Amino acid sequence: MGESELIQKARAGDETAFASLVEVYEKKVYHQALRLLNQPEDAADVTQEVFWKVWQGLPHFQGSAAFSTWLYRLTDNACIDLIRKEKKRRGDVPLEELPPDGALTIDAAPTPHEALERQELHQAVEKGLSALSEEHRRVLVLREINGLSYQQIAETLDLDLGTVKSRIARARMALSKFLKRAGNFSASSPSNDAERR
Amino acid sequence: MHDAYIELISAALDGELSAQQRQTLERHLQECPACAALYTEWSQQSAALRALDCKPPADLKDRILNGLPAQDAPKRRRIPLRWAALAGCAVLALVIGGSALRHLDRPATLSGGGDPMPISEDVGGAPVPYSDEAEDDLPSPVSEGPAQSRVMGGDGVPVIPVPLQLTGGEAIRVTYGSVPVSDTALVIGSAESLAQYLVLFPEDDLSALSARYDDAFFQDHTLVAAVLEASSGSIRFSIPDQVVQDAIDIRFSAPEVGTCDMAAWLLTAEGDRTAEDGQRIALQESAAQGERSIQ
Repeated sequence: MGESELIQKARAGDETAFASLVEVYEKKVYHQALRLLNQPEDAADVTQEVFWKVWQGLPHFQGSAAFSTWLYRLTDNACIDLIRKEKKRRGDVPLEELPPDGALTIDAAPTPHEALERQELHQAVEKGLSALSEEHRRVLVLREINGLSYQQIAETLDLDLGTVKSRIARARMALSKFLKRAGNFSASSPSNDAERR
Repeated sequence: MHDAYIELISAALDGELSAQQRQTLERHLQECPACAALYTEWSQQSAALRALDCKPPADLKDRILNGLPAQDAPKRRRIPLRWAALAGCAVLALVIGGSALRHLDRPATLSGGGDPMPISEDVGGAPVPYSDEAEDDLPSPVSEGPAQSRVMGGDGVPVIPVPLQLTGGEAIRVTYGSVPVSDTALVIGSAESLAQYLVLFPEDDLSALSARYDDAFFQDHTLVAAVLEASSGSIRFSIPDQVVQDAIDIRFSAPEVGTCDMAAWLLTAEGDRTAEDGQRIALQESAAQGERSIQ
């Protein structure tokens, strides 16, 4: 059964069809939330909340927007709301100072040496991603984790295409700087100009 | 490194360049070692990001499916609100967007007085029940004389392209007769737009709204606002949490005994950034849960 058929059935209250949609998108939503929140428990809670909202709102869903774009937007909104509530509760601690949580699965690698290198690289990238500003992290997660096109990111975050393009470039530059400071990636020394633009 | 090529390099990695842009970039990368190095570096960085994985909790799907809340009612046809002879008070006409959404069983007389009026005192008879009749059974507004029937707000208002999540609905009573009544809700997307909108409420102090909904709020949210008028201050309106695409569901409740003072309400709800500043969204109405339906 295709996705649009599943959506139609779920709109009509078919829980089995909705379960299939959950199966397709559960990991993507959870992963997006995990990269934005850095806390597995919070990411699970947000995933649950998002799917409940989707289920409740499906009767109003017109299908003129991509289902996935709607889903990722709800996830982004839920995460940002949670981040801001936490910031308020903690007294506005900058996100960059939050300790990243490392409870993540690393892909298996063929040799112990490669595994170690890959693990180090993944951990560095993971830390770097969590150290980015909220603005940079959101676009990079949607691009690299969720695999959205620039157009889809623009729709999800209500940005124009030019902003998406420049923000992703700036996010990459910021991540490069973090990784260089952490001792990863020494291929080049980008100037600060892109950040200032 | 050439700044002019930084965004091109990034977009190339994402497959977002035109053929011409790609050719331009390829030529440049052959001539500029710094930009070529950046391209390589970002390729590795991107690959590392895409290789990140995660493992959702094993019971997450069950948690989601076992706790599913009640699904919203299927989208209703927008129908006229029928005030079927509210007992007592000659009429409690709900006025939305300047349109009297009345569908009365008998001729109506509007009371503009502000004094509380027990609904059961006026007509001297037993309270008349709310009508449950189907829409198709409604008499024609034309043939019914004083009775009117209007679709609530915004037939012809386009649906918004991406569903909008609304939360935190609030109702503020504002000054009847001097507020921007409209048959649709307005999406406000910036503090500046909010300030311009609040100018339309010259007799009301809405500074609390300006203070709460500042630039920081509008970075990731919109504010949706609707103004309703009713011929009784006893009628209560609210915007429940909902996902909106074609129309905003306005809940209302009307007590058996109410006042006949004219009232206006500014309803607000916080939205995400799906909708655009200045966009209009239609309204539809339903009775609050636990109240007697007046549809």
